[in-house]
Amino acid sequence: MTKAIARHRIGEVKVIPIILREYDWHSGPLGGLQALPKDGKAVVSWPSKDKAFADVANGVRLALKDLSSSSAPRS
Amino acid sequence: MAVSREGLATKRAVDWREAILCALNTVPSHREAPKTIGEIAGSLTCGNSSERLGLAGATVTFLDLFGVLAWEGERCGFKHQIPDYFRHSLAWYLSHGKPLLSNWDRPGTSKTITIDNLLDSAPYFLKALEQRRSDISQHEGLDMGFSRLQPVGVVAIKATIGAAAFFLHQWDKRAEQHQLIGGRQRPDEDQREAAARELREELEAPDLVLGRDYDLKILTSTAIKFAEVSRTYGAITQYDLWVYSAVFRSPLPPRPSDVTWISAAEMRAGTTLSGGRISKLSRLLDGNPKLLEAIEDSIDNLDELELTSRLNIKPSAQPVEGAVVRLAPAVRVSSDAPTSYTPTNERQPVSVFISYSHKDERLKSELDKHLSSLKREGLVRVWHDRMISPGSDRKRDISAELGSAQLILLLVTASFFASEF
Repeated sequence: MTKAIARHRIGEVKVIPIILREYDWHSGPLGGLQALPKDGKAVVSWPSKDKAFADVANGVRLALKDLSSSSAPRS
Repeated sequence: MAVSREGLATKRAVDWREAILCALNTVPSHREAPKTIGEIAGSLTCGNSSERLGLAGATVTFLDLFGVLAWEGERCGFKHQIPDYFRHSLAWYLSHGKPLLSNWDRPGTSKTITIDNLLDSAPYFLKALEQRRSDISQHEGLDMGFSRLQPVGVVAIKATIGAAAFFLHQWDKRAEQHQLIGGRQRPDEDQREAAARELREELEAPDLVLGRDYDLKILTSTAIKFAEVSRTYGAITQYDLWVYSAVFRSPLPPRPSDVTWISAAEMRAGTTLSGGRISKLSRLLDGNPKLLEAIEDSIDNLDELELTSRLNIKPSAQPVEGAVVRLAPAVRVSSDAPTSYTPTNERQPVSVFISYSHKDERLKSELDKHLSSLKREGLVRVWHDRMISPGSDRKRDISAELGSAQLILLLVTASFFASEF
């Protein structure tokens, strides 16, 4: 997994941490990555899990857009 | 380590507006609005620059101009994105006439900061930044760099096969990128001497004598200006590049292992065929066709074999342009095959790899359901290890899927961390 994160740092792959349960992930190897759901608030601590997952799905959709625009050939 | 007198003196020498405009010259494109700093800082939640700078309550849209975010970025380990982000977002704000910061209430600064009054607030930001650097210096016993003007001597060593031009680059371990031969001018030398010294050092050829073994021709009548936010502590450095073309009379000394030929197409792409980063200065050189044309071939009897084996083309192959096309970034070739990266297009679903701990199976299934609309639209192809068919090599399947994935979702829980890190 450390290799995947290294590849993320050089822009080869996109890695998104999805925070399911509270955990101090900032200080570890994932520190600095943009996480989902929004503000990195754990899914289980949302009032509604469905809402949290919907936010995640939406975030993934945006990330997909980023992926396709960033790999588009430069004009 | 306190702020040195010398550091302050050189900092004043930088014309901020010029440095900013100079940074803009290197903006590749700005298609869309950048994320606001607030968004980024919010999602990072590491570091407290907004608090320290008294930004609480302000709508922070652009703060990294003065390097604060660059500093934070360095600490958070996403250093490579920062200079790009900086240029991209600044260009966007400038071209759309947006305020860089609004609803900001701080003595000595404007309430709304735009490009027009940006410089009025500069002393405040600089003070804050300096304080921050001095804290870090004291804490870590490091001597921080400050924003400065840095003359650099660059030596273009060129070889041509057909229509494809190659330039000698050295791998810079610290910056983790390939750079043209050359380097910073020291106080006791001029740009030409700096270029010659760097050439000797980087080719590991101390006996090379300028004027006997090779000549240096100046290509730039005035310096090419180039600015970047340093990856260390957010200093802005404006580089004044003096570019020389080297022509060798004697054979080129054997290349040290960290010196390689890199094609103009790779320079344009910003990465080598094997995915190594190339310095932005090289892209700048490549983006200057007049200058590029003026560079003479450095050697007559180039070891063509070396280059052609690298490119896998025959020197006489007719469509030389084809060879160049093959070097385009979209066809990034990687020797370690499974990690090669295929760019997405709208028709091809993006490969998504979900990594999770089996203890979180239930939450994973729920997430999977929520991703079903993306799957239905053909946007993604999701893979997780429950999909391994019985009897297949589990370890190999996982590493192949991980290698070919374009998007990796890590389902973070305590058990995930316990199993993965």
